[in-house]
Amino acid sequence: MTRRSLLVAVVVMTALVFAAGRRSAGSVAGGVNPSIAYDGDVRGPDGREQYRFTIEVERVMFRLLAVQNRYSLVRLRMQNSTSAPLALSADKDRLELVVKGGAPVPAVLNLQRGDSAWWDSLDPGMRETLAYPVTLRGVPAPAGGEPQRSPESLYFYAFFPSSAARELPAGFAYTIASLGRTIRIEHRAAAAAN
Amino acid sequence: MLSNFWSALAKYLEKQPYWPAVQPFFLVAFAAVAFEVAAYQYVRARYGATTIPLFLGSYLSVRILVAAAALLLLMLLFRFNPQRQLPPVPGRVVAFFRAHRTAIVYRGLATLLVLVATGLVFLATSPGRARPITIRIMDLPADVASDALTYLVYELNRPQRQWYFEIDARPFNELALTSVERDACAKDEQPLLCHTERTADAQGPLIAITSRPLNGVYFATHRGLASVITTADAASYAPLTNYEYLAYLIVIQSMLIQLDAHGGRPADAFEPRTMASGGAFEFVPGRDMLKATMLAPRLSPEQEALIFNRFGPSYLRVCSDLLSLDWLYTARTKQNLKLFGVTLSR
Repeated sequence: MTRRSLLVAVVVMTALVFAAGRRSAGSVAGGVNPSIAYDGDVRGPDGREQYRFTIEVERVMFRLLAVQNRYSLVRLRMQNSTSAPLALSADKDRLELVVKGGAPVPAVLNLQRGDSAWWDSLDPGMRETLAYPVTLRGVPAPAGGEPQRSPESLYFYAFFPSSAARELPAGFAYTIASLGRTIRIEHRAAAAAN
Repeated sequence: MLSNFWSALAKYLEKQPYWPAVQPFFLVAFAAVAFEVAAYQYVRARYGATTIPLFLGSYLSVRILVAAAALLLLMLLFRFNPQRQLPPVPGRVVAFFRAHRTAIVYRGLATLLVLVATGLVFLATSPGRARPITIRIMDLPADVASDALTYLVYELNRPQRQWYFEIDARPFNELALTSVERDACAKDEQPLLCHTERTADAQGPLIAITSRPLNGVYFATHRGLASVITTADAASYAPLTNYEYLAYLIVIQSMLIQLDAHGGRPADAFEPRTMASGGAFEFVPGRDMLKATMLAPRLSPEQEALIFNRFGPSYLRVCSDLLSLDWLYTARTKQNLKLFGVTLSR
C-alpha cells in the first residue's frame, strides 16, 4: 500500500513538472490582450543575445487607423546588448511587413525623401521623433568588477503604406545593412510553435 | 595729506563769490566720482580682477556718468526761468499755475527730455542675457566616451548661474531636416554646419560635435547660432587629449554664439591671417599652433571690454575662468574623470 501510494505520488509529481515545463499561459478570467507581440533577436556565436527587436501591433487600431490616410504605423523597439553601437541607415536598411499569402510590404524608412511634402509639414520636434535613427548605442563593457548594464534600447516608428498593409501582419523581416543579415520578427505564439 | 588738501580747497572755495552757485554742481560731480570708485571696487571684489581702463569703458561707468550728467543738466536748466516771477496767490492752485505756467511747462518738458535721453542711454548700454546652448553629438571618436564628455559639460556649468550648456542625448539625425533644408545643405560648402544651423533654427543655439573632417576646416566652424567642432585632426594637438580639446573649443564656440546672438561678434574674429598672438578669437594660421593657443589662452583687452559690455562682469569672469582650463586640471576633476577611465595629458 505504501509502495503504491509512493508510485502514484511520483507519477503525479512528474506530470506536474512536465506541465510546468511547457509554460502554457492561460488566464482564467480577465480582458483579452488586444495587442499582438512580435519578437526577433540576433545571437552571437556563444548563443548570447546581442540584439532584440520587439513590435506590438494593436489589432483594432492597426486596421482602422492610418496616418494621413496613407500609412499604417508600427512601433519597433530595438535593444543592443553588445558594447559596439549598431549603425542604422534609412537608405540601406529595409523593414518589411510579411502577410500570409501576399507580397511583403516595405516600410518607408526615409520619409524625408519618400513623402517630402508631408514630412516638411511636420514640426521639428515631430520630425526628430519620427526620423529613422542613425545609431543604437552599445553598452560599455563593465570594467573592474562593475555590474553588467542593461541593454541600450530605442524606439522608432515604421510607416507602411496602408493600401498594401490591410491585413494583420504575420511577421516582419528587418534587414540591417551594417549587420549584413535579415532578422525575422515573428508573432511569439507562432515562433514558439515553429 | 589728502584730507588736508580737501580742507584747504574747501576753505578756498567757500570764500569765492561764485561758490554758492557752483556748490550743488560740485557736489553732484563729487558724488559721481564716489559712485565710480564704489562700483569699481564692487566689481573687482565680486568678479575678480578688473582693470581700471576696462571698468571706465564699461556700461557701468558710462551709466554713472550719464546719470550724473543728466542731473547736472536738470539743475542747470532749472536755474533758468523763462518767466518773470509774479507773486503767487496763497492757497490758490489754479492761480499759482497760471502765474507760473511757462516755467512749469518749460521745466516739465526739460525734465521729460533729460529722463528720456538718459533712459535711452541706459537701454542702449544694457548687457544682454546669455542663452542656454545645446550640445549635440553627431559622432564621437573612439577615445571619447559620451558619459565622460557629459561630465565635463556639467563641470562647465558649475560656476554659472545664468546660463547653461545642455546636452541633447539624441544622436544628431540629418533625416530630421525637411527636404528643402536637406537640398540647401547639400549645396553648402559646410554641409554639417548647415545641418547644425537648421537644427539651431528650431531648437536654439547649438554646438555639434563630430569626428568627421570638415570641409577645409581643421577644428571648428561657426555661423550664427551654430557651431561644429571636429576631432578629425587630433594629431595636431596631441598629446593633449580630445577631452581637453573639446572643453576648450566648446567654451570658445559658446562665446562666439553668444556674441553673435547679440550682434557683438568681433569683426576680425577668426579672420584668416598669417600671424597670431594666441588670442582666443584669432585664426590659427598653422594647425600645430592650436596646442600653444590652448595652453596659454587669453582674451585681449578689446575682447574683454566687448564681453563685459555685452553680458556683464559675471559672464566675463566665468568665460575667463573656463577658457583657462584651470578647472579641468584641478585634483577633483581629474579624480572624477578617472571614474570614467579618462586620464588627461597633464
